[in-house]
Amino acid sequence: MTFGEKIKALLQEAELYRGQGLLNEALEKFKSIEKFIQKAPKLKNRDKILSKIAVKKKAISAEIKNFRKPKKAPRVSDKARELMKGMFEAGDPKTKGSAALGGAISLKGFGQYDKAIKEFTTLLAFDPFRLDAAGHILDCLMDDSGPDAAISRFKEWLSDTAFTSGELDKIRSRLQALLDKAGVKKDVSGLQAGPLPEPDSEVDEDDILDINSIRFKLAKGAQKGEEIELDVNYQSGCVLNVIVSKKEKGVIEGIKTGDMMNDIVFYSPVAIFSGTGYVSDMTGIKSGPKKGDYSLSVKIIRILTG
Amino acid sequence: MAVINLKNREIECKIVYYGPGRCGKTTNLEYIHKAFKRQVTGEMISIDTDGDRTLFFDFLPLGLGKIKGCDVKVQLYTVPGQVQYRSTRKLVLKGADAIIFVADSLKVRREKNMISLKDLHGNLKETGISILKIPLVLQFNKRDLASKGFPLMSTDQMNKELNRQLKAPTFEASALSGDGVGATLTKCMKLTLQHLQKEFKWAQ
Ligand SMILES: Nc1nc2c(ncn2[C@@H]2O[C@H](COP(=O)(O)OP(=O)(O)OP(=O)(O)O)[C@@H](O)[C@H]2O)c(=O)[nH]1
Ligand SMILES: [Mg+2]
Repeated sequence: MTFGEKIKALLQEAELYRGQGLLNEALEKFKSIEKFIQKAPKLKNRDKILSKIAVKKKAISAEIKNFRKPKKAPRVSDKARELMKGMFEAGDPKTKGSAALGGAISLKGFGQYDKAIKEFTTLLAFDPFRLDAAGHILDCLMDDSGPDAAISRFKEWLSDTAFTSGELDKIRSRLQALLDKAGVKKDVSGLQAGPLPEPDSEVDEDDILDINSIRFKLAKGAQKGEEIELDVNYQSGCVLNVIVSKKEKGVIEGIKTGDMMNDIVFYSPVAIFSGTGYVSDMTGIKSGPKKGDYSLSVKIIRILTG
Repeated sequence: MAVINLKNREIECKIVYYGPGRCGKTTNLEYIHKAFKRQVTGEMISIDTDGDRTLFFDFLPLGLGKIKGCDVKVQLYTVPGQVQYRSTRKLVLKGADAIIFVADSLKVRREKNMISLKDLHGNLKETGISILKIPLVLQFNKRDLASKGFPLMSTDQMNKELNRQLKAPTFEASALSGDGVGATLTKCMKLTLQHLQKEFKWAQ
C-alpha cells in the first residue's frame, strides 16, 4: 500500500465512523490522520488534505457539542404514548405498588411532565406515595413552568384539605429544597393559605351552652376514623378553644385550619348535643409551658336538634 | 414476565435487544419489520427524535402463530444504547423474558461492548435476575464491514472477551443487510419457549 493509499483508507475509516454516528471515534481518527500527515511533508496535496480534515473536525466537534446539549422532551406520537401508558401508568397503585411511582418518575425523567403530573396526582390518593408524589409534582412544575407554578400549587394545597398540617410541613421543606437547588431566592416558610371563606354560622351565640368537651372522628391522618375526645380550654361564644398535646401526633396530623367537622358531639354540664363545626385555627404553640402543643379553635356553625 | 394464559392457550413474551450505542439494535428491528411481514402484527414504534439515536425504545409486536398448541405472541423492544439513558434501559428491561445482546464488531467499540454487557448484568441483578439464568443470545453485528477492509474484531476475540462466562449462543450478523438477524431471533425465541416450558409447562 502506498502512503497515499494508506491515507485514503484511513479517511474512509473516519468517514465510516461518522456515518454510523460514532462521532467521538470519527473525531479521534481524523486527529490521528492529521498527525500522520504532518509527519510526511512530501505528500502530494498535503495542504489540501489537511485543510479538508480541519473542516471535518470542526463539523464533527459541533455535532458532538450539539448532541450533548440537554434535550427538550422528545415529541412522542399518540401510538407511542399509548404504549408508554401501558408501561408506565400508575394504574392501581395497590396492585402495582411502588412500581406505579417508578413509572411516573420515569415519565418525568423523560420530560413528559403533563403526563407525569397526572400520574402523580392519581398517586396523591394513596397513603404510602402521597408525600413523594407531591414532591415530584412540585419538581415537575419547577422544571416545566418555573418556581412560581410550584409555589402556587403549594398554596393551593395549603388551602384545600387534602393534606394534613404535618404533611404540609414536609412538602414545604421539599419545596424549599427545590427552590434552593434551583438558586431561586424565595423563602416559603411563612407561606400561608389565603384567608378561607368562613362558612356562615347558623347558630345564635347567646343560645350556646357552656361546653366542657367535644368528641369527633378524625377524617385524616394516621388515626383516621378514630374517635377523639378533647377538653375545651376556653370558650368565647360559639368558638371553642382546645389544646392538643404534642404527644397526640395522629390528632395533630389529622386536623387542619379550614376543615369541616361534620359530626361533633358537644358535652355541656346539662346536655349532650351534636352539630357541625369548622376549624377556624390550628396552630402550633411557639412558647410558654405549652410549647409544642397545638391550639385548635372550632367554630360551631350548626346545632342538630331533636 | 411472559403473560401465559393456559385456558386460552396464549403466550405473550418480551424480548429486549440490548447493546452499546450505535451497535445496530434498531437496525435489527427494522429488518425484522421489513422481512417478516407475515409475523408482524402491528406497527413498529420508534421514539427517536435525535437523528436516529434511540432516546427511549423501539417496539415491534410479532405473532408467531401456533406453537405446540399455543398461540405465541412476542414483543420486541430495543433499549437506548447511549450511556446516559440507564434508567430508561432499566425500565424497558423490566419484565423481559429474554435478551439479545448486540455487540458491535468494530474494533473501536471493543470497550463499549464490555461496558454495556456489564450494565446489562447490573440492571438485571437489580431486578433479581441472574444474567446466567435468563435466555440470552449474543449477536456479533456489522460483520459486512470486514470485506470492505475496516478494522473489526475476530469472532474468536469477541467470544473470549464477552462470552467466556456466559457461554451463550452467538451469531454473526449484518443487520443492515439482514444476514443473521432471523437466526438470532429464532434461537432466542426457542430458548425463551424452552425456559417458559420449564417454568410453566405450557406445551401440550
Ligand atoms: N455496515 C453496517 N452498519 C450497520 C449495521 N447495523 C447497523 N449499522 C449502522 O450503525 C448505525 C447505528 O445503528 P442503529 O440500529 O441505529 O443502532 P442502535 O443500536 O439502535 O443505536 P442506539 O439507538 O443509539 O442505541 C446506523 O448508521 C446503521 O446503519 C451492520 O450490520 N452493518
Ligand atoms: Mg436504536
